[in-house]
Amino acid sequence: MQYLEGQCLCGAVKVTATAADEPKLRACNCVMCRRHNSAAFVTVEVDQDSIKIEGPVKVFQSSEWAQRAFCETCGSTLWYGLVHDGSRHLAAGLFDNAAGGTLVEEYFSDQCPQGYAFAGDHKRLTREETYALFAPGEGEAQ
Amino acid sequence: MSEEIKGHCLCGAVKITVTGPLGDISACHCDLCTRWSGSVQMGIEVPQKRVEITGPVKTHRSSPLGERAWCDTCGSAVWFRYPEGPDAGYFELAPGLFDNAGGAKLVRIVYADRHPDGYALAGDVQRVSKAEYEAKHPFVEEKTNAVS
Repeated sequence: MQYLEGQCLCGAVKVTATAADEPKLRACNCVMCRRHNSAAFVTVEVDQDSIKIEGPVKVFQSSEWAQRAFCETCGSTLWYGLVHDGSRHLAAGLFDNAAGGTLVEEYFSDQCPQGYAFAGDHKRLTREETYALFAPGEGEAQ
Repeated sequence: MSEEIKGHCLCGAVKITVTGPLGDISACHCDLCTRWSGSVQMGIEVPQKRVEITGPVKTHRSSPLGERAWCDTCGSAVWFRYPEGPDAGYFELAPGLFDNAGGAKLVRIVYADRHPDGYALAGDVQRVSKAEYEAKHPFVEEKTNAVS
C-alpha cells in the first residue's frame, strides 16, 4: 500500500488517498469524458474511504447518476463521481507518475477518435461491453 | 468558402465555431498539462482569428507565458495558448469540443519522455523529449518548475 499526495495544476486543491503500490488505471473515451477533458479521461484506483480533498472544488452534475469535479481556480479535472454510492474516481494526473499505476482497461474503445490511440495490450471494452459492465439493461452509462 | 466546424463543451454552455480547416493534434505530457487534464493534454492548433467562442469561459494564467481556459459551468477544457511571445495568436483547442476530435490526427507528442510509466500514446508520430523541447523553447523552464 502507498500513501498518495496529489494536487491540481495551481496547487489550490490538495488530494490525499491510499492505494495499492501499483494501482489500476482506467481510461474512458466516451463522448462526455472527451468533451470534459480534451481527450480520454484516466482515473486511478484508490481506497475510497481514504480520500481527502481540500480546496476550491466545483462539482458539475453531468447526468442523473454522475458528477464531474474541477478546480475553481485553475480548471484542472479532479474526479468523476457516482451519485448512488458517493464514489470518486480520481484523475490519475493529480499524482506524480500517475501514482505508479498501469493502464488495465479502456472503456468505450470504439468511441475513441480515429486520430489517436493508447499503446499497449490492455483490455479494451466497446461501448456495448462497457454498458454491460456498468449498467446492464440501461441506456447511457456515462 | 471555408468550412465552419462547430463544437461545444460537455454542458453546452460554451460554444465554438472554427472557420476551417482544423490543424493537427499535439499532445503534451509536461507536469502542468498532466495535472490540468488528469491524463494527457491534447490540442488542435488554430489561429485565434478563425475562432469564435461564446459562453462562460474562465481562464487561468498557468505560467508567466501560458493560459488555460475552461467552461466555468461544467469544467470542460477549452483551450491552451501563449497570449504573448513567438507562439502568440494561436489556440490549442481541446479536441473533445468536436465530434470525432474534428477528424484531426495526432501528429506530435511533446515531453514525450515524460509520459507516466503506466500508459502511452500509440502511433508513428513525432516525439519530442523534454530536453529537445526546452532547448527550442527556453521560456518554458519556468513553467515546468512551477509544479515541482
